[in-house]
Amino acid sequence: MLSLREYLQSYQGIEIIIWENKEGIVELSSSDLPEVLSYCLEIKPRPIWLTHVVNDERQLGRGFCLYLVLHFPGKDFSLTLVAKGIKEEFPTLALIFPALNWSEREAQDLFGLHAVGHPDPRSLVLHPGWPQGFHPLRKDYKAGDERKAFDRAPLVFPEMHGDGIFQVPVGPIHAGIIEPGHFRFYAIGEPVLHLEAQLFYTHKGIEKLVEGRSIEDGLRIIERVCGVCALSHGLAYCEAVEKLANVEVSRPVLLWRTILAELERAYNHIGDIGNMCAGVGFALGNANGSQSKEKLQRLNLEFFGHRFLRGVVVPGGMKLIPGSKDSQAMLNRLIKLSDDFEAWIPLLLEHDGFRQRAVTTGVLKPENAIDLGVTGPAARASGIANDWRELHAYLLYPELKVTSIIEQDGDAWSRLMVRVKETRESFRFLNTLLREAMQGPEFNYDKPVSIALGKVRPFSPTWGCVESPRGTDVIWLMLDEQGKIYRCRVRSASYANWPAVPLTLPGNIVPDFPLINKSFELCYSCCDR
Amino acid sequence: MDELFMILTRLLMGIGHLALFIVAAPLLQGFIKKSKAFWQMRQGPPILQPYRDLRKLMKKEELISEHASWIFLLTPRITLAATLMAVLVIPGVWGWAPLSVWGDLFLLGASLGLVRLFLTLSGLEGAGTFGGMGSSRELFLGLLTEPALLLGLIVLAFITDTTSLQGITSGLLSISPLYIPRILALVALVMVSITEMGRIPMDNPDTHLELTMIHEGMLIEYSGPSLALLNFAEQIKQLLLLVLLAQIIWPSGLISVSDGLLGMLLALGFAGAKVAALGFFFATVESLFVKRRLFRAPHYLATSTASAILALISLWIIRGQI
Repeated sequence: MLSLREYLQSYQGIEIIIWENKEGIVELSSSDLPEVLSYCLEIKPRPIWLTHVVNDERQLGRGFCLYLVLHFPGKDFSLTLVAKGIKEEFPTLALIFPALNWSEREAQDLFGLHAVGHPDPRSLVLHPGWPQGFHPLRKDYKAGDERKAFDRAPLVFPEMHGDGIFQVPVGPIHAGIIEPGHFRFYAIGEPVLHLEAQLFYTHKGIEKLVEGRSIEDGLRIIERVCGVCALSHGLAYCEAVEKLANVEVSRPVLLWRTILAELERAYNHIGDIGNMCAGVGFALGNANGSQSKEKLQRLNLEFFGHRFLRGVVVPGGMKLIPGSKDSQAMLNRLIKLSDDFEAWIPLLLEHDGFRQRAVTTGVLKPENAIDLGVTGPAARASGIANDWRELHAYLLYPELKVTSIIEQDGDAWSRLMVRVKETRESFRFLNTLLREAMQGPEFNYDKPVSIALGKVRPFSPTWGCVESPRGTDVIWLMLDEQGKIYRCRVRSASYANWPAVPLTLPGNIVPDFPLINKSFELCYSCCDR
Repeated sequence: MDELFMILTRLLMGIGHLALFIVAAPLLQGFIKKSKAFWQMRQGPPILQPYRDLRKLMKKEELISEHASWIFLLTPRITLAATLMAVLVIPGVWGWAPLSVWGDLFLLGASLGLVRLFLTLSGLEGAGTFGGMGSSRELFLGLLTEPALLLGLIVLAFITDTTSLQGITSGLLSISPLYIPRILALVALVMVSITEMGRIPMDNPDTHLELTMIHEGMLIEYSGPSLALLNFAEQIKQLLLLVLLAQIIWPSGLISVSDGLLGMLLALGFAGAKVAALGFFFATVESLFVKRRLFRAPHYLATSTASAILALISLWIIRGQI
């Protein structure tokens, strides 16, 4: 078998733009995409998709462009396939790689391009009621008055016929304080046959909103895409900007960014573990989880000024770096919190009733997880070792020697166990990192290492990628010649994982859905954007 | 004249009995919530909150689905009336029940059955899926709880040779608390009571998860005063079950005016303490256990039925006859 590069070189009509140690960008015609992607997917270990971006570059004379970023684990090599000059249609890749299903439907909605041969071409992001020809991400569309054109129309769902089959509509308004999403169960009695999830109620047009904004404004918006992985989104965005500007950040900055990422993981994982208890009505576990999460968030507030860790990371550095005294205090607090976590977690893990509910519930098969490009704890619970901290050398993770924590069964219990073990790892990493921070030199507060933006490469595609608590977050970024954002695509972990949730349901009973849903604990806001 | 006086006193005592249950029911609910909050390391709502909630609901506007029929409006009234009917046969604080005649054990079962019948019907009224799911699950559980409840009480009736609940509780005074059939019957009744009260591990009274609801599912279409009546009836049912359990576990016997005011007040305090202890016990169970998978419910309920049957068999073995 030829190496990837030899294959691409020998392929007629492929132009290699960049081929470096870690990254490659190649241009090809959109009609060649299916064949090249099929070839790439045959390579072992199988590549994972990072993001799929459509961009309107007609002003630059390049038509619509399609960027598909793949990552080849093992070699830590990322390949961007660029198809330029798309006019109205592109061949679908969803048949070869179902993970791209949603991205292509989204491109159909927001750009008005046609994915030829797509197996499920229903609209995804835009709900029924938007007028024909409303394609907001085209550059010639000026946002502002679209609200007036919206004429509310009922949602359309597939029909299912048969004796005793009925539909259970749930949402978009739920009884708890959660985000909006409509779920439609097709059930016979209690067992579920099929689930349709209608999301994108909170589509805010963020990708349109950031266009033409400065890098700083973009960061503020991207950090607010959602409230659970705020730091990861911001960090991925900063990495993308730094890559474009060719900036190397110093070691203390890397150190503190790693600490922040692990703090975010710890508080999210613990909160998610507690939430799973709420899914089975286990009040004591839920109370313990909420309490630990709150303590961690207060620690965030105290040392970094924000419960969700917003506004700490900036392109090129950090807004503030705590001194050694603060590091010592933080370490002491975290050791206490870690002991506290170890004290209450057996309550859950040794609870027969809880095990009975979670084991064999909501199984995500590994082949489904691979096909749909599932990421994060959801994939690792199905035996797929795809922790971005292990796959890709970034921050201080290579030094920490992160290994993906995997479970084999793919059920709600496995997803819980992955979170529990990762939380322990996070506490261990935080211990190591904070010990280094304690010895480090003192830093000045409020003195961000600023970035010289003059040398940012215009109209060049780049991406930043961070392992968030829910999986790999990818921010894809392109700046214009004035250093303003030309296109920014947010592919959050939740966006990658949502299509997998309905697949885990058939065979389970309706009352188990809350537990299954909570074992994924996906975010609606950063999926809908 | 004497006869009239007798009737009047009995009537007054009956009204007093009902009034005590009506007043105390929300208090018990508040206490159980407070106990759960204790386990969850929270402050919890004030103990008087259930009264405020009822008052709030009574004042609120009531919305009725256009698909609903007269059953929908009738159900809250029937539910409350049938629950109060059941209260009349429960021996209260002073071990006395306004209705104490042959067979009132079955009156209890029938009243609770009537409540269940109308609740499941009204669950279907709103033509929503949650109500229908709640009704189907309620019947599924009801099918399994009712035999255990009746059998458990019947064993007690055999032990004390009466089917009057007042007779049963005063008869149990002379039976050892460690009498095997009594213990087994008690186990069955405690397990059934959890289901009847709609608590974990069978149902979750606090749930916001629409998909898992049973009792709350049937009430989902109700609002305003009707919801207040239904919630109130549920609280009374909870209290009457706990009072009955308390009287079976530790009967206080018949206390009358002849014991003096102090004696009567002491009995009131004793009964309150017993019910509070049981309430705390159930709150603890609810905090420590998780809700079972619905299709595992038969295992749990089969255990309670088996326990009741064992009680019957052990009684047969001990006595040589029934």
